[in-house]
Amino acid sequence: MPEMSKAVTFNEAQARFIERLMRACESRGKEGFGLVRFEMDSVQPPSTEYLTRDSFLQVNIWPPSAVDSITVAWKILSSDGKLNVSQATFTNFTPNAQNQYLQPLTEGFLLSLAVTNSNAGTVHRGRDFVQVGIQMGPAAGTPFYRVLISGYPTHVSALGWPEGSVIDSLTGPGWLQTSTNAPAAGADFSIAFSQYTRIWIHSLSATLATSATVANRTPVFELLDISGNVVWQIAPTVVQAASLVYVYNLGEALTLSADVNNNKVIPLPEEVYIYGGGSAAIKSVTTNIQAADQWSNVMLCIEQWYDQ
Amino acid sequence: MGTSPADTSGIMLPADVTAAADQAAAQAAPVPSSPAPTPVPLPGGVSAFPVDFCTNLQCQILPVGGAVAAALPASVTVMVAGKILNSDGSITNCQWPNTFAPSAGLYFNSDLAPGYLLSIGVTLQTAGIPSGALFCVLGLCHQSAPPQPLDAVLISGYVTSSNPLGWPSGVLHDVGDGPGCPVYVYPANPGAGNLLAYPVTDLYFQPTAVTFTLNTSAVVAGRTPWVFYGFAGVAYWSLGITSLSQAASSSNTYEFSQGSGTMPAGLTSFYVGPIATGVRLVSGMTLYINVIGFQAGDALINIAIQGNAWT
Repeated sequence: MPEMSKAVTFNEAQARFIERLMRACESRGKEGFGLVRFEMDSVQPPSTEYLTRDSFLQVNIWPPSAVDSITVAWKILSSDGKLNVSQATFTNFTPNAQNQYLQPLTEGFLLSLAVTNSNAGTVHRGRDFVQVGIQMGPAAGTPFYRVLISGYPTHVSALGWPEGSVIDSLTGPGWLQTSTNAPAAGADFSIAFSQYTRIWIHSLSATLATSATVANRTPVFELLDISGNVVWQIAPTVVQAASLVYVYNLGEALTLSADVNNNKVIPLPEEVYIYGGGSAAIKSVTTNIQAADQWSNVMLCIEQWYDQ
Repeated sequence: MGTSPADTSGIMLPADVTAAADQAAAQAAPVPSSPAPTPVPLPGGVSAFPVDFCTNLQCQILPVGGAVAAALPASVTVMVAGKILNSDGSITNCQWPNTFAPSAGLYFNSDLAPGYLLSIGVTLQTAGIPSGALFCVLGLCHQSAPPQPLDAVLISGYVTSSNPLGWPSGVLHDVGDGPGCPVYVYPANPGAGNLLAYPVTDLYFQPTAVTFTLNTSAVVAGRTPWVFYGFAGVAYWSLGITSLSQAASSSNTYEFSQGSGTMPAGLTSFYVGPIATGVRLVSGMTLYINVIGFQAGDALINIAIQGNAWT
């Protein structure tokens, strides 16, 4: 380490600052600083990461949309005492997948790094998961030699190193989003979940309009896992006859019931997580469904995290 | 530093390090300067963990204890990579790649070259492992295999391909931290006249929903299903119970879940019931599906157990 600190010099502004500090020290005398004095010469840079010529910044981004935008900026104190500020903005992503980027770095001390969400408008937490670290060499697939920062930047909160933490993709609130589905007449609805996501289903609302064909329909609502197994199913307390319009409302910890307007209330299991991908879905299976029966206004509210 | 001859060197070895090579190397090491020189350098500088002649890197990844929601790959590859500042001022980049079965876990121990450990990263290079399945503990110890007590814990947490772990900058996590791993279990039908016992194999398992169908025989009796956990068939706590009495020669599907009330489901043969919220069972406990009034010809089928598990 002494060899490295000797190589560091300061620019003119830094040198003037240190000189003022030294004069202040001299004017206060030794006693003013307690048990120890601090060196004002050959000061070590305030960084725990020295970048060598084979250091690369590895940036991994999991966005839900191709047009999201993430900006990473960093400062490096090079061995000649110069401060280098760099910035890169990433977009045109592959949605719901790991997008990896490499940035060559100048040799020197990494002083700081910040990740900001540069999407236009409001970005809620859980949308874009970003992690940044150091890899050695430019080869794709090279692992992190140091993880610097990870988390979900939003339009109001940025990620920062060194003060920030490495937060995994499952920690904290997820991305609250809604999905819809419009099946054809006579068909049930089904909403699938993206691969490598963890889903918490908060609520589902759907309307079934039955045709004039005489039959008693029973909509069964099912949760399927990635292999298509039914992990949960539930049905309302009454059947739906011909020429009726019922709204089915499913939510956590609700009581199985109905109101006078034929709005059916159905409980969903509380805090049950679905691992997305494969056949994982929430769907209706309506017994005795007729060709002209129509599901509509299917609205699902979920909370989602990246998990792989 | 004491009066033994070894204390005149720069390295004081732990008593259980007896290898001649380590002792000779320690004897040859120079006595370092005072650790608290005056004046003291300003805070900052390169963060480094000194590595002496008997410092080993040890990594353990606990195996998946039970079933998980994801279709786990047969093997996964983990890459441990780090940087070491050598005594000559150069930096060495190190990699420890390992491939292992998730059900078997991983242990490895590697002797480190003397110098200063600058950073470590643990990256899972196989996708499809949900968080909560593989718990990694990495640190430094002063002996090699078998697994040793750690002298320094550097990394502790659940690792996935989207959540690498690192030191420094990382946070040490307990195995019970986080939301756990989603688990769906589909036990085989126990057969007529048999109830179900599901032994917990994860360190912690929080049941969130239990569903099954009860087919009753023609024997006239009222049957009331309930779910409980305990040891060796002894109920320590009832997770959930219905208020129904199912008659002979019928088939009802029961859906126990957190937050559900107890009520009949009317005309569709779906019956809901509550189970206790937030209960974490530990390995060694058993979750039971029992039926009060159960008959020899009755059968439980289509059983599904959902929950969150911590390896």
